[in-house]
Amino acid sequence: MGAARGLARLRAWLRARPVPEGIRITRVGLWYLLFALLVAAAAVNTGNNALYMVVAVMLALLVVSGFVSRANLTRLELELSLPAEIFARRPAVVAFTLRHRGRLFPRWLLVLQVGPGGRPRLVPFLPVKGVARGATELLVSRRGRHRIGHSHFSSLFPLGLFRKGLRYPAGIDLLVYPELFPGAGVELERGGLAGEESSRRAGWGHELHALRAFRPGDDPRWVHWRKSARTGDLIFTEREAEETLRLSILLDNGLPTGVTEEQLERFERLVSEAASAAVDHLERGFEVELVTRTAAVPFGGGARQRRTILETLALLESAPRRRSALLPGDPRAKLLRLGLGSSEAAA
Amino acid sequence: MSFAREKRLLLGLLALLVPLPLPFNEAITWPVLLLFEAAVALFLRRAWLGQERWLPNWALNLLGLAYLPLLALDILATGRAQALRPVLHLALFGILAKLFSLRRERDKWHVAIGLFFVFLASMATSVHPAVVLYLGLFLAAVLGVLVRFAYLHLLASFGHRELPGVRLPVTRFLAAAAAATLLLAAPLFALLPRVRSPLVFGPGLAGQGTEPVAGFSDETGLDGIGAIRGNRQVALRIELSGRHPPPRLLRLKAATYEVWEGRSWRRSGRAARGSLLPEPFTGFRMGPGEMAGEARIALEPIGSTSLVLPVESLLVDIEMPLLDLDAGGAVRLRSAPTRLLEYRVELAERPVLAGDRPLEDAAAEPALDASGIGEEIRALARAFAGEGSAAERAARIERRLRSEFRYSDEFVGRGGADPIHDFLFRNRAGHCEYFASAMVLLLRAEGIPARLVTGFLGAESSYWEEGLIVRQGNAHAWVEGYVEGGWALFDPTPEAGLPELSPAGLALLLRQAYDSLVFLWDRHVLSFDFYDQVRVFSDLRDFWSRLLAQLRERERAAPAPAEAPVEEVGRAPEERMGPRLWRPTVAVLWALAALAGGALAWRSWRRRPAWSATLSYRRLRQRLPAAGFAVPDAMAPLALAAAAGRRFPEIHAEIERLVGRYVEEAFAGRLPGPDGLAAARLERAAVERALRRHGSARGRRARRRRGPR
Repeated sequence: MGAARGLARLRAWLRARPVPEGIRITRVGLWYLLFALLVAAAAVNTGNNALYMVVAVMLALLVVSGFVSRANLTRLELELSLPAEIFARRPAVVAFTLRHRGRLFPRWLLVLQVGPGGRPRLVPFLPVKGVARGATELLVSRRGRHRIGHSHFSSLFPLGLFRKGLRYPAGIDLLVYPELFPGAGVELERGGLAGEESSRRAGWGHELHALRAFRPGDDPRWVHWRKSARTGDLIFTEREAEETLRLSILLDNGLPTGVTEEQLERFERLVSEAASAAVDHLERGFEVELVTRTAAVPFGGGARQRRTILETLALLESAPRRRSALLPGDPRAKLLRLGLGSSEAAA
Repeated sequence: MSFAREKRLLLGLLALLVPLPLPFNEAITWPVLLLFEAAVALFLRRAWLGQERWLPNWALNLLGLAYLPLLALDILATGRAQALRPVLHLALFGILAKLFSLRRERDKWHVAIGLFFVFLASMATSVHPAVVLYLGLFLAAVLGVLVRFAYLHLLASFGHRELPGVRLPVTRFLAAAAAATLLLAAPLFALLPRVRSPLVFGPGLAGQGTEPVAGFSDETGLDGIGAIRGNRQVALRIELSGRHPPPRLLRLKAATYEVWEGRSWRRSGRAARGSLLPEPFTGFRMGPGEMAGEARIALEPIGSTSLVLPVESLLVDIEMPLLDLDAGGAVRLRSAPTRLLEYRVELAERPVLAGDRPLEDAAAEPALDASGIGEEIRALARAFAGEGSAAERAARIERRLRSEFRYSDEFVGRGGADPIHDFLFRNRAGHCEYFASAMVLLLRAEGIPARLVTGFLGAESSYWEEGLIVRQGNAHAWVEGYVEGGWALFDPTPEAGLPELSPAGLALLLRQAYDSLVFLWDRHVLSFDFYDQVRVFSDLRDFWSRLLAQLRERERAAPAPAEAPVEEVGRAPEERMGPRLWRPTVAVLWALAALAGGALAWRSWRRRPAWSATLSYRRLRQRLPAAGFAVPDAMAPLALAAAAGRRFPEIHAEIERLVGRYVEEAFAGRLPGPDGLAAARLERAAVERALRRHGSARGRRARRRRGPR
């Protein structure tokens, strides 16, 4: 048991250690090596010990430079502060706090890159036990779950002969929301019966519009019995029609078998349109629901609904195609139908 | 500051530093260096002022074309002897031209390459140990430049065009990196493969000039040795073992002269037996005899083909195919060595004078050549020599010269038409060459074959090395005369004229330390070769074996392993001359510790808190108890001022002002201006003086109360 625990701890420690990323020689480094070889050849050929001294110093400098460049990237601690929402193809500002845990020498000319899509950021100098704070950008190209496994540090220090890199484990999981299109402008279908706002037309709202004689087909529940008793004829209460503040987004994520790349791209675009429409309408006070083949988010509003819809869309995957149509939760709500096979909403 | 400006300044500073050793190595002349430095200074000034106009490419090409005739003239003027000089001139010109036309990023690398070439030339032509300082300085400068270039490159890649306000403190790192590099370079230097004999450029080792040391060339005047009598440069080092003469009487023979030409002597011709060939597994035998002692000699390059040997030399063990012997028994090399030459000599009890026996035909014998011997000299010789055997007569002549003539250096450089005649009959004073030359002529006048011998007399022991040091000032001249069927040694120079050893003292200690350092440099760096590498590995292997044996505690059971003989190809195993390393090591460590202590003290002095009224107040509180005034911890400043003022009325006003300044600074945040600071310093000094007086008086009273013990 103890051995297993120790082994687990060892594995965790190994996982947490920074991983060298190898070394790349720069052009200056190439010239330096070339000159060192030339001087070495001259020294061996002539037997001049002064030239041997120069060669020895050049080689020693190479060794010292390599050691220092490696040590310059060690004993660093990086804390990342991610934004609440990260959208695909939109740079996300990531705040970082970089700490130097070493005791001897400061750190110089550190280039930090968070994840493969991160923008490099230069930290020129970090004193012993010092802290550097700043922000960098992260760009993720696709929605969904992503993992920032490593933060990448590199440096040309000390002499610019080599670029040394080191990867520090980060272990950050991201949920990237679909890309938002500014001002989606989708054409919505009109909803069904009643809404919540009066529209000053006869309809089936709650506000009184007019009293008239009962006609066959009218709902008998809306007979104005008092007026009818007074007049002796059946009087019907006519109400105002209501505008609906509800939006149903019906996103058909059913894809045919043998789907092409182009179809996948269009599907992603539809997901982004759905997200854009949802965010736009939620901001305008709508209640929005999302209906797909595999998931449904009932009507709701506010920040929580926004997050729920975006998360659902972020994780939405394709499903087998079906003939049946998607139905909204409220027939009176405005509709946005999106899908590959059906008549698509205008972009 | 823009990047371009900073790069120009950095390269300009490197250009100032890089050619500094060249004139010392005689690779270029001082006027050329000064001209170059002035031009670089002009460039730096333009760069500092941020000038934007620099030479365009067409101007650069024109300059190059204009320099071509100068280059041709330079080559013709310096000739083959100094082939490097025109190349260096061209390199310096090229660096200047490129500096003044620095416009593109890659131009700076062209300048860097030119500077590197000049640096290589400076290193390759240097033979003095001070080149290590130059190497360290250049290394630190290059480190700084490369770090800075890397920083600027990164900033440019991030879109900066000017230097941001962030400072990049790298001073400590540069110092540590330079030190680590030099430390690591030392073993690498020893490990790099050697396939050729060491080549040394430059004017000769140990800073000696290219001029041969006077007194050991094919022709010598009468003032050569006298002129270098005060020269403290080391000529050779010698380690003696077995029976040997005391250091003060050690006599080393370099050259013999037989033909007097009125004002100078010409060197003896070749010996009758021709060249010396080495005997198998031994060396060059000078003469028969039993070995009584041994000498190991390290001869500095003195610009002479003479192989300096003790007069007791029986056998010479040296890495040479053959040696030339002259008629006087002095050994010559085929060419003057340009680096340290080491050899071993077996010594006999008495001098081995290996000169040729005089010819039967006296007229043809150079050692009986009567040139310069007039009637007066003959008469004087008869008067000095008297009657008796050749040995007795020679001894009398030697005695008379020693006792009746005076040694003087004043005659150096003032020889007349017949200097020996003047010496014998007019001046009766001179230096050793006059004495020896006069004795040769007097002996010849008496029919005794004689020759002049030059070499060294006396050696000094070194505090820093195991062997003895012979300096150029030990050069001396004496006589060999053929008496009683063999050559004998005579030295007519009075005691006062014998080479003196340096007086003991700090000056000698420092001089010897410097000589030792230069010797170590010559021996272990400039002359480091394949055999030295083998020896290093062999020493390491032996050390490791001994260490293992000690760790395994086998030394008690078995005798200590003998030192494994060094397997040197083509050389007999021998010990090398070694200095007493522990002494210079201790001295260097002591010097480093003193430097480190000085640096720390300076650093803490720099970091000392700046004077403030608060500090003065605290110090006052600390000093008052020693003066007999106890200060409670909770005592407020103003209460303290009042109480202390009452206790020490003579400094009442100063205490009040001091406390007042503290209160203003600590509570009102008002710092004193320059006048206030000056006044506060005086007040503080007055208060401290008074408190010290009170403290001393108090101590005296306390001792009086205790009474005598």
